[in-house]
Amino acid sequence: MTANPLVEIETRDLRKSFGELTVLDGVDFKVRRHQVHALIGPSGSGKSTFLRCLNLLEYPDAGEIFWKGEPVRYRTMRPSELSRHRTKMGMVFQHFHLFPHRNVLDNVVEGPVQVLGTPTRKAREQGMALLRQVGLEDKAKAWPAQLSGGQKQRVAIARALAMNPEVLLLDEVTSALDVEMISGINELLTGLAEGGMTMVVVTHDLAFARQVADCICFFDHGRIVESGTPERVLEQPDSTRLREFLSSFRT
Amino acid sequence: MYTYGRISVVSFFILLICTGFGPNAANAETLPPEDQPSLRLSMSGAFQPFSTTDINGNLVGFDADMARELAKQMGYAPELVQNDWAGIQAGLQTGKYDLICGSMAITPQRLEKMLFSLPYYVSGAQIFARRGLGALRGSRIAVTEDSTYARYIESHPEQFPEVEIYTFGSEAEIVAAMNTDKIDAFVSDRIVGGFYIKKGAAGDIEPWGDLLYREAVGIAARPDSAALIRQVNQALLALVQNGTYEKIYRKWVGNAPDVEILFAAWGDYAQFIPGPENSNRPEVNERKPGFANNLSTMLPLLARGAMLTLLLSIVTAITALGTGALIGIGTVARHTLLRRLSNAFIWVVRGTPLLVQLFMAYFALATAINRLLGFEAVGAMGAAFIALIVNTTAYNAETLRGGINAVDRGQWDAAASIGMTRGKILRRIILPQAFRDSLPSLGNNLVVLIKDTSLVGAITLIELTYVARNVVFQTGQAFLPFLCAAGFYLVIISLVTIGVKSWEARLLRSRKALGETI
Repeated sequence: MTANPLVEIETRDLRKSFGELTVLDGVDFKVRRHQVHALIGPSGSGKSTFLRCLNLLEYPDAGEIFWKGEPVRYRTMRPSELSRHRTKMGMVFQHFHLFPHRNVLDNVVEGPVQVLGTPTRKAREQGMALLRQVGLEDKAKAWPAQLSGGQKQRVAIARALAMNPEVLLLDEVTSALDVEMISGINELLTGLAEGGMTMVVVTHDLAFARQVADCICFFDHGRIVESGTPERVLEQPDSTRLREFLSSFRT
Repeated sequence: MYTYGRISVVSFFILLICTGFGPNAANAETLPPEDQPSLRLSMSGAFQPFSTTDINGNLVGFDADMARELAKQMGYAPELVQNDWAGIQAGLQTGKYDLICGSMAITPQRLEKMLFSLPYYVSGAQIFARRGLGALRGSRIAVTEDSTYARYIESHPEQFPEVEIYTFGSEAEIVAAMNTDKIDAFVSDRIVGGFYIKKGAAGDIEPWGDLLYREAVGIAARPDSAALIRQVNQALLALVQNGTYEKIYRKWVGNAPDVEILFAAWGDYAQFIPGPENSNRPEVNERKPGFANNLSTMLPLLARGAMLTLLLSIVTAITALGTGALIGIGTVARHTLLRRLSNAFIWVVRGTPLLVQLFMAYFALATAINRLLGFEAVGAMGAAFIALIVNTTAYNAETLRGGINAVDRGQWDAAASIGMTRGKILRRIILPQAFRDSLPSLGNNLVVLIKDTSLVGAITLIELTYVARNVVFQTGQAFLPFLCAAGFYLVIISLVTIGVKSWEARLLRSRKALGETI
């Protein structure tokens, strides 16, 4: 295959099941550079698992993954290669998963210092810059337990950005937040998107998806049923399943 | 059948028995209450052929048979109580049983604390040595804790030049020590040693030198039990007269008792008993070692024991924290064999008692190592460290395993997503949290360890509890030495607890502000 310089990640016929339960039932997908991809769909439709397969937190049972056109040989990868592969993507989780025994700044610099080998002083300068970017400069010395949910998620985003990822994977990052925190996080992500960050966003926030996404994919039963521009997918759904899904949001 | 040629002697004893003797024979007599028709008699169960346990765990042997027959003769239901020799006097003094019918030699020191019946057999102290030992100088000799043999060696150092004395809780350990090259010789009862030789129980041994001294063995009671002792004497006389005594003696010792010697001993013994009317106790020309008898002499002894307790605890605690962490990590290793081995280690060690581990480390492992190397590389101290460290390691590993598994899976995800390798995730993210959350339980393991060091006395190490027990034997005070020992333990454990708490507080500073929601 000839590498398309605009495609960061491509998956072909990705399959994954947990015991009897088929979670991914053949997913073909392209992550395009500088674009925001929103994955929507009912709970259990496989979108989060798909996201975790992209950075190999889960291993697919079958199917191929390409990074910039190069096959990712996840079955035979050495642990060091696996780790290096993961550094290319940053991931933010629904429940933050900050390191509770490290203060805010140390959470952010852990990756650069331990994985990239950035000198501590430089990593801290960059970390402070990132905290400034997410609006938490004054919380650098605070413990995670002292932060609100929205603040924790900002730290988690800063921690992911500190690795200078080429793609940002966001797994329902506002689902665990109080309503008044959500818009702030969404603004932050919108700003990143405008800055050209490639993103794959699993979300239930259709308004946010419409506002920020270049492409929306509808997952159902482990497959991508429909995909296209937000206008196309959200306003002219082809399939019954998508129409049902969208109508559930209007009630 | 004996021929009672000296009827006059017997009549004399009958007279003596009926008169009664003992320190407070005239008053403070206590018999077991009427409604309790059983008589509790104690013996160690580790002194063949006098007392041992059969395949069903019943006490058998010369002492056991004598105890049963005496009680029956006295009109009681016999209730035999097995008690470790080392604590047998304390058990009597605290009323756990009424009599010690356990081959206790009658000595002036014991007579100060207890009443004794007439001797029920006469034997003597004999050194038994590995065949062909030669001179005693520089050899390792074992005795039972608080035995007359131990006292004899203490008071006759000139006969035991440069020997190393090993003190064990019972004869069973002495036999084990003899079989595993821990010792070169031991002092025991002439009859007991003969029994070992006949059975080949203690390896290839032979009597070494002459009898050290002859001793008369009696049945002991509390000082306020003069009436009971009088009943024992009457019963003993009856058993001798009706032939039961000879039957039992033949059954266990293998030959007829020398009744002449027994009667002679009765005569000797009578003069040691201060009756109510003659309180002129003859002076015994035995050199008495200085014994602790009050708080100020007791405390330095106990403090020295506490130092060993502290040393064992500190070295074990520090080592087992590291080894426990290694095994704990092993239980979550990706390598299947490593994981299985770690879990098997925890399973075996937690599933066996520390005392058994101590004996295995001392009698089996240390001996194997020493035989392999050809010199004594691992002594009692080494064996104690091995057993304590192995034991505490298993408990720490299990605690940490639980702590590691309790860390949120999301922590692994988050750390992996920034490209950390498994080892780094464990070291920098998982273990610090697991350790922090396990610290209260690890502190608890440490407290258990400190208390468990009290078991190493079983392999001759003189730690705090051992000292306390020794002081109890020497002073006859059952309460004060143990109270002091408890005080020492409380201080040590309190200090450790405070230390662990402050460490915990430091590690927990990250969640001090708010309830933790990560």
